Amino acid sequence: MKQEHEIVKMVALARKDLQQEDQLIRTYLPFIRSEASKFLSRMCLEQDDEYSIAMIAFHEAIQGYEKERGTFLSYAAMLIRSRLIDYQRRESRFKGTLSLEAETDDYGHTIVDMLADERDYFEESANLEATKQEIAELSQVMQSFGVSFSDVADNAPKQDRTLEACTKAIRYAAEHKEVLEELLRTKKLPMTCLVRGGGAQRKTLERHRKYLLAMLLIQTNGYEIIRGHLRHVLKKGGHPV
Amino acid sequence: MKYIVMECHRAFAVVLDEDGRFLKVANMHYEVGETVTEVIEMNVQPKKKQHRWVFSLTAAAACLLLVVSFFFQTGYAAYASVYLTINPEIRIDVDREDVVLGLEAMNEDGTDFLSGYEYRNKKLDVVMDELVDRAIEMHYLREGGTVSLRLDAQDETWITSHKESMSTDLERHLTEKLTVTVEITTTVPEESTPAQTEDEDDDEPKQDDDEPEQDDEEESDQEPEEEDDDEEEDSQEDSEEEDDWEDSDQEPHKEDTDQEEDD
Repeated sequence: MKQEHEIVKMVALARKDLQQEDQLIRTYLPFIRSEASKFLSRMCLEQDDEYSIAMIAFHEAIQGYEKERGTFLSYAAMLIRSRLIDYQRRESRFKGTLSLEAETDDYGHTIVDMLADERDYFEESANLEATKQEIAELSQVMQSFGVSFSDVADNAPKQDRTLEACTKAIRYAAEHKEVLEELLRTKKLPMTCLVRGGGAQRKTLERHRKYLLAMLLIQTNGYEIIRGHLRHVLKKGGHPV
Repeated sequence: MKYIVMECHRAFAVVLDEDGRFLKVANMHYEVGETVTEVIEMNVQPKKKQHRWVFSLTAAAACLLLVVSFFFQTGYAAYASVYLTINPEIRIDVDREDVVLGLEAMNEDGTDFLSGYEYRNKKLDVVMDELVDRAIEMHYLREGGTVSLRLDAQDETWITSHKESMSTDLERHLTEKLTVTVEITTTVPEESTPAQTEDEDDDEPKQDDDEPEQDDEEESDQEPEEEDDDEEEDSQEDSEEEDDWEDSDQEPHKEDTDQEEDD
């Protein structure tokens, strides 16, 4: 069918290019919404969690689709449904818990009002701004290497073992500034140093180049907040969870 | 675990956790720079290159298997048989999945009993219940009567498991309706295959099973029984009682007819 052929072409493009994916998603937004609504037996609204889940399921479909799996839309519908079911199952475990919005006294105070508030909202919003800035900067530097955070997410180590191996290399670089300097100077990942210093197999590190690049950049000047967040990574001898 | 939102897209977001993992997660209206504690991760699809030729090969193999299996079917090969005797005696043949392959009457009453009954593709427990009901309706099975089952299969595990389950099922099915005695006997697999011949009696060795509701008496002999039924003959190996006390392994005999297989 011609139409299916068109869709498959678009999916292939969307897989490589986030702009294209955005386009594709915009085209099929009604479809995604309707699948989610079908599952919920009610209109799925943008603020629903299920909406976000259906969206990422569609993204997953784009990434994982193969012609053997049937038509793209049927595959996407199936995935959307699967993820929504998973979500529902997870959420149902929390049924029977009391809502924080429940009223506790005659004055309309809710439980959440009664809880001592330990957060400093002012500080938090300041932090948010600062974090946003760091991220924006990091994103720019990564762009000059031709890498986006999405790429990094796709490229990041999933197993604990490989994560550990990469972390060792990163720690080594953090302690030896010259490695980072070389990175910034040559605009290339100093793989040999990392292999030597980190003690991991070259093959493993090669597989996660983009990830290493991002993590190494974070070790350079200007990303204190993000580094602070990564406390587990920099702890000497600390293991990733 | 805390996550910093690094990037937001229409369909997903990228977050960074405290261990240095970058993850694609559902974008729950996140803002870049935000810290969140709960995320819904995307399932990563393992990308495996599936060689195309594997599909054709598998298809071909499947076809071949199908064709070959047709040549091995002679009528049907029952995996096991259940001889049901109330008064009418019938044989129920089933396959591995307990789907009834065939029903055969072992005596005249059996023929009447089965006439018009549709068993096609029904499962054993369904058929058992239906037949028992039918027997009650047709007045073959009355209050205080007996339902005897003899299980015949090559597979001992089948026999053991079904002995339990069938007895329970039957009793449960009958609880509301009548009080009867249910007894179950089995055969140890021997050379004879189940359900191929009419008279296997002679071939089978006796064995003593423990029946919940029976006293085990000597196998070969006849018990004097008083049951509402008709004559039973004396036979050394087989007696045909289905009544309250029983010889466990005897082949239930058909009272009303003259069948030759008796020995």
